[in-house]
Amino acid sequence: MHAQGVDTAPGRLRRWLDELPVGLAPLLIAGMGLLAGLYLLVKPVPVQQTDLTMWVFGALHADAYQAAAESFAADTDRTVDVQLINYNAVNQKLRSALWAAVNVPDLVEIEKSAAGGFFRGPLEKVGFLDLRPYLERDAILDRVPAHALAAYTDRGAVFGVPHDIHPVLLAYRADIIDPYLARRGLRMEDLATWDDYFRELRGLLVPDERYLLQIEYGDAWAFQIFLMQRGGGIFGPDGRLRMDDDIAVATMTWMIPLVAESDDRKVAESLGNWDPSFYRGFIEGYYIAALCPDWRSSQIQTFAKELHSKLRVAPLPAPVPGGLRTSQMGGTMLGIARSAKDPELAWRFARAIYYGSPEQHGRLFRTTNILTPDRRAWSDPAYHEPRPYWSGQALGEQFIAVADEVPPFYSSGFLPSAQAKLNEAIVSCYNRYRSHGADGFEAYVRQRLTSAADYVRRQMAREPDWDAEE
Amino acid sequence: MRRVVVYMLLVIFAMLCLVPIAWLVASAFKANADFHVYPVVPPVERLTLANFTSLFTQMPFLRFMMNSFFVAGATVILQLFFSSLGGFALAKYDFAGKKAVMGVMLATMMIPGPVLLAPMYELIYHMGLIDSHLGLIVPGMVNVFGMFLFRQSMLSVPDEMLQAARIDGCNEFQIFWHVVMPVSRPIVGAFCLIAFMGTWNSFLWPQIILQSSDRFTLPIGLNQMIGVYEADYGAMMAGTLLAVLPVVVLFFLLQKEFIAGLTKGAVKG
Amino acid sequence: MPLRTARTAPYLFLAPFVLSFLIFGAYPIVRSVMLSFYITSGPEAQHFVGLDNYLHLLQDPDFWTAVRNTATFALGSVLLQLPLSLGLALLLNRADIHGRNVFRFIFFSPNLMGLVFSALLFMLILAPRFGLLNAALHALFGLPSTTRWLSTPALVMPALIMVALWLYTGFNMVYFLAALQAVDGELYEAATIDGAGRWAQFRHVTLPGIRPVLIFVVVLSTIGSFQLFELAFLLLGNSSGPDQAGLTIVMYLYQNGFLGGDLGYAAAIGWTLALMVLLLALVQLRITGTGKEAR
Repeated sequence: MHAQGVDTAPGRLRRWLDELPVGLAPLLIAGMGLLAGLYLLVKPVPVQQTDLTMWVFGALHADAYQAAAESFAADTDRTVDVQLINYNAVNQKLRSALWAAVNVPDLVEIEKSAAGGFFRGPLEKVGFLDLRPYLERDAILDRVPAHALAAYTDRGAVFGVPHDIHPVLLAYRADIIDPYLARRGLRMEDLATWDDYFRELRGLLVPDERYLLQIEYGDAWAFQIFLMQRGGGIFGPDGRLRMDDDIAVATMTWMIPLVAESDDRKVAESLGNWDPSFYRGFIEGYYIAALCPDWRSSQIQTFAKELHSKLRVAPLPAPVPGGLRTSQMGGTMLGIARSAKDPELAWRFARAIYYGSPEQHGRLFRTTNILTPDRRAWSDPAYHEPRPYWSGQALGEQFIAVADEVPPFYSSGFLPSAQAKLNEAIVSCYNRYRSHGADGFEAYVRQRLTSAADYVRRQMAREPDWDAEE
Repeated sequence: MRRVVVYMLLVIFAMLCLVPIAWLVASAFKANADFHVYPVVPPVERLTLANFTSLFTQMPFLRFMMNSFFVAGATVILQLFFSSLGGFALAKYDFAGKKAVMGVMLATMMIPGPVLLAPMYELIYHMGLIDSHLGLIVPGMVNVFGMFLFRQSMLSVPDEMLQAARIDGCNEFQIFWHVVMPVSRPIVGAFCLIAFMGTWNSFLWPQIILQSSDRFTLPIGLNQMIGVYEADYGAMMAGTLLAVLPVVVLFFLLQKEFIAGLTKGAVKG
Repeated sequence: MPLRTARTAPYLFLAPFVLSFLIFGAYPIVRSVMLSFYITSGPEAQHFVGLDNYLHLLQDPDFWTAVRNTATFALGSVLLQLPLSLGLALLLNRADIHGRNVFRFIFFSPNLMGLVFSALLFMLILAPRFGLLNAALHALFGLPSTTRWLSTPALVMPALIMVALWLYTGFNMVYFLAALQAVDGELYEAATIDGAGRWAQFRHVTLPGIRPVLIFVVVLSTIGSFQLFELAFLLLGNSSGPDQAGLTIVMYLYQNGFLGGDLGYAAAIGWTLALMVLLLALVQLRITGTGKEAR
């Protein structure tokens, strides 16, 4: 390994390397670190001391709010730092920040299912401000459908304002279904109940190749949509657990056979909810309809370009004649931290982004298809434009039409636990149906849901009565 | 076992190792829309650099990379210094409390990270190191695994060498630096690579500590692409590919040292 | 004077570690232990419960699900990985194999990718119907391509084990290869002269020769497996997988602490895990240690 002793440059270099106490590796790494450090020094990012900080987890939101922050700065001469945080990290960071009572952002957007966890504890110690006084003072309360606030209200305090409503419609392959129905003198609107839906479209079913609906049964996503459509829910108002009540049992008993039946009696399937396979399944016609909250419609537009002008949306078929033709899934809230130095300023910015001009909301709708809860914005033309992708439908109008009937969702700090138990129950029921069929199925469902709920109840029982502590 | 069979087995396993990586490379050049059409490799004419452009427009990728390099570089150098020093002390000296130190070292390796997340966060905040790279570097200054590694390796350095140096008038640190370290070069190489990889891939802690997106390291930055409403798979693969390259290159350059280091260091019980 | 400095030297050399440990180790540890005796919802909202957190978790079916899952993962990983990496090392160690360095590099390259980036990659590879794995299984063995790896309870752990195997087999193999090459060749010659066949040589020369590395790898793999979190977290998101099939102990901690908000209970879970791992490591070391003495 030694050079031939020749006193050349490479020889000298090699000898010098050999003589180093530590060798090549640390040098390389130190060198890279140094270069990188220099780069960072040379291109510093200005440390901004802004008046407000905001944490956001959706890239689209971040972009929109950045723009809003700029006009806010122009109007009020106060600056806002909008930070994009990874979705999975928001909980972690917020929890740690609240825990250490430090570095808490003034405003933060939280996803609905995680929100409940932050409302625990004594009322005055919850990390978020009660925004009800602000909403009442600025007369916003009547602009927002009441059900939209339910998820973020705890013990009467409104800890977050909703970003959205997320009504659920049915997105379906109009190119396949409409002609088929037309041949029989029917239209999609005539399929008023799920029974009608599956009965009339039976002819389109081809086992292993074409299913009538995409229903994901590896988690509780679809189940919750159906549950809420029937007037049920995991929690009721005042934090009461109701995931094992009669409505839940009925929903499960109805839903499972749809995916668990054998051979040609199975009408629904899924390839996954969140990955490319979902879109592929839709494109290939593996299923011809899917449950579609408003935000999902924009995902479909983006990732299933092949379905341009082949899809339409329609109100969900109801569980029973005259029943609810929509449901709810997902949501984001905006909270103002109790530790915010200038809550009034934070509220001003919150108002600017959540209750701003109709065009602002219209613009958001154009890019994300998300319907704002602010009724006043619904007159904006953006909600009434025909959409070529959706075969010329005015997508906004479709969602607006059901917006007021969307069922309320009630949060709890135990929601993640309840959802996990619900997932387990769904899988057990699925397996049970596969092996035993309909025989004694309802009794099994009831027993399974009850044991899942009891687990959560035991957990809830451990919770001290925080407001009595003082 | 016949040679042919051996080769076959090796090749099969090599394929298993390489195929996902090859797929990664192919996916980085595959258009998003083609992801479902061509599960493996798109035809040549459909290869595209769009993912890379998308990647660089969506995020300050170069900055993320520089952040990662800086943090990894600083951390590794500090760890190298302190761990080797500590390992040396444990290998070549007898002193009161030695067993206790080693016991503590062993115990710390067993504590799951998330347990300490909240108290650590509080601590780092009080030190004013939130949202700074120092907040990543300082807590990670000493690498316990490294200390074990160096101790293991340095045990086999002949005591006579140290004695000779002492007689020559060297103080202990000089013995460490001029006698023991040069002999331990292979393990230094191995450790540097392991430590670099550890820091480069570090995810949970940086995700909590870093808030400004221009301070993010690569794992945090890339993970951001998995949003609630959408996921740009092509760009994610392109970013992953670029993120992995530095480690591969480093390993390539240091392969011999790394292997030699493991041979000498880890082998002796 | 060399001798005097020799006495203080080790303390000085270890000072950085001790300091670092006191600040970043001892303090958070103590704080976290104290926390484990409370139910919390915030820094000012702590309710003292004494040992109740521990008692509750011991009779919490979810905790035992997590233990079962984690143990399955650890067992599967270690039991599969050991023969695999050792076997590969043995194959590669043969004198008549060319291209050893190339193979070694290839086998090690998954580990170079790192856990986070590999998880991002495998999220797509494991996708049903159009992910690489299903496409390959379908093409090679005609298996249905709709296998939902991360959505089918029985397949979640196998999928995780698979990814872990892919990541770490090469790494362990390198260790074993190094160990094998350090075994004294003369011992093999002596054994051959004594008439020992291949298998006997393996049992009596190879295994004892690499014993320290074997123990090292097994113990380290076990400790690492029990702390499984990031891989499951990245692949399954905030959920614990269908039917909680992906729920590991640390994930259970994370859910209770960071999603549910009870950092006190989470601390209790963490310390229970630490105890379990400690016991397991001690047991393993004792078993193998006693074995050595008995010989």
